Amino acid sequence: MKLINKISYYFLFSSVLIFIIVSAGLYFVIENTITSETDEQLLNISQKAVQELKSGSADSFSPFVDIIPVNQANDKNEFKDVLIKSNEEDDGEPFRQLTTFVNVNGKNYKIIVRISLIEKEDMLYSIVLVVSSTFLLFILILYFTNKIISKKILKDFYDTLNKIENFSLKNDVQLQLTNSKIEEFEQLNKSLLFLAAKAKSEYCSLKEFSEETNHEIQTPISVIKSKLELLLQSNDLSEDNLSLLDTSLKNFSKLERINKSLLLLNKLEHKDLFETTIINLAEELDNVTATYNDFIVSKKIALSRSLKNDIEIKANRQLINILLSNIFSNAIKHNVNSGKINIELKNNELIISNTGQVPKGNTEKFFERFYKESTSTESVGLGLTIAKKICDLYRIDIRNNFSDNLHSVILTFNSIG
Amino acid sequence: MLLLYYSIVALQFFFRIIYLLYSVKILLIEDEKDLAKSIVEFIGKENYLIDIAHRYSDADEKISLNDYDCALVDLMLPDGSGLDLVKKLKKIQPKCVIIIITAKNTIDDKLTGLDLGADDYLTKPFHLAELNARIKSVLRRRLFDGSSKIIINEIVIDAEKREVKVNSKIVELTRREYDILLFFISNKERVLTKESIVEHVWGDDANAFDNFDFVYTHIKNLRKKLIAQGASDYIKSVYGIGYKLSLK
Repeated sequence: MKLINKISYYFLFSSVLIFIIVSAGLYFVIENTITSETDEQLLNISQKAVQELKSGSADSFSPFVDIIPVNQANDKNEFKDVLIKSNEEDDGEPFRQLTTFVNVNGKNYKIIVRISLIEKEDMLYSIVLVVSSTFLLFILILYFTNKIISKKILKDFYDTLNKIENFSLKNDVQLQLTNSKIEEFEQLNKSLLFLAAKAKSEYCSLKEFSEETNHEIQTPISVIKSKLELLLQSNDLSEDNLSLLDTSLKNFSKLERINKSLLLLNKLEHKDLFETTIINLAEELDNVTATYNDFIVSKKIALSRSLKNDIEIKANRQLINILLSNIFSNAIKHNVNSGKINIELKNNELIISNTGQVPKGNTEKFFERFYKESTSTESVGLGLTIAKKICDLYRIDIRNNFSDNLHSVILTFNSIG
Repeated sequence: MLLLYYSIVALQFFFRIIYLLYSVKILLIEDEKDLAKSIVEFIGKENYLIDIAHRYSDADEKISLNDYDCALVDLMLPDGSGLDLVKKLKKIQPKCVIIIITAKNTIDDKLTGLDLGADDYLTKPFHLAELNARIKSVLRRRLFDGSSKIIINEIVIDAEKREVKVNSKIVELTRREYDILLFFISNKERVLTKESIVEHVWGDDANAFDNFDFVYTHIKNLRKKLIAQGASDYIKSVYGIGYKLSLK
């Protein structure tokens, strides 16, 4: 719910209450006034009737004046609301009546005077009409003012919001917000700027820290690796010792690979300038498939290639080699024995697809760091993250797809040549 | 008696000089002392004379004083850049082959290093066996113009022609098999892990796999071909960890 609507709802709710109270108050005040006015009139009329009776020219004039001779007189004047039917089907009209008793020339009379209340009802109707139309008008005005307010006053707010949405810690661009004349928004902007600056500096120091760690780790890794290899050369190792050494070396090389991948990722994130050349994609694919040929053969994978046309891109050769290697080696690693790999190059698209297990998670997650579908110890989970980063660098569109039991990675080259 | 003693000393001195003349002199420039020790221990089994410099100034002095056949240069030194040393070496000792060793895996450094005349480039962490093979390879190319023959008993390898003969008969090997054999021979009497073999023969990228079963197939074929021509079976499997070419 929009803020302006929320405010309007509360506003509307309180207005309804006020309108109801005012209408009710108005009703009672007006009704009271009318009643006392009517009663006064009734008294006047009945006095007139008495005078006319005394002068002997009084007549009943139903239903407004009834003069009835009675035996017994009563001192009481009685005001009363009654309904009088003019015919049988009628519900009757509302009247106010006054009953008085007089003694004229020794004779007792009962005088009833009535005044129609139809006008009073009309009046109440008019009140309701005026009040409700005012209310409608009020809502209408509220609606349009809200529109204007949200456009004009909240403009600064939406402007800020838009800028925050586009703000990224990774970019070098500082957050810049336009000044607002509204105090609250200005305060908000100030806080946001402070927050962004703080987040940025903390992000940078964290990144620096992780990069330094990566670099620092390289030296001990080199030393340990060389020592383990020297240990391997000693002649008096038992099988148990060798087995321990084997496991250590294997896991150590994994650590080495993780660190190497992270170093590359950091470099890619820095958007360092890499030397670029014109690269023939088909040629690079040949290199990559040749490198991995033995892996394909040992897994009995059938490789089919259909290169309809060639694509030339301007990029760093080593990075493109890493990109293709990562995708291709994934296609081997996550393949089944006696599976298939298809490489298709047509128009500006390169599709590398492979048979494999149905992915459990969202295929977009494959690009996340350390994401693993299986608990297979083989992969580190950085290959596709690196691939994505390289693609970002060269504005290559990279997508994952799973259909017909084939998992494919699709590269779309936007800037050919 | 005294004459005999003197003659023995003179003879020893003479042999020492002969040894110095014919052994390969290597300068290792590496600031990480533990790593330098590992390298010396591993390649020390060869007929090398190894000088170690841990600092730039140290290396600079040694370059000015002695002649070297090969220099292993770490690019990042506490008091200077290895690239400057490469430049200087190229100028005053053009015959010295240079292998750059660095923790920096930047593509640009590799290019500059090779542009300046370094013969090879190795990034840390590396396999000691890989370094050993690289040293031998660059030395072969430089010192003997690649024309030297590598002789292991009945096996003779012509590195320039990439040709292997057993008892003067040519053994037809695939490219991979030849690479594997040469790697073994460069590192004879040493245990080589499957991973280091894969990395050497198939390249760095290939080690992202865990399954190196195909290495076994290649080695099996290699052994079969050599034995078929009458060579002894020198390549032995070591537990499950790797292989070793042993003449003993």
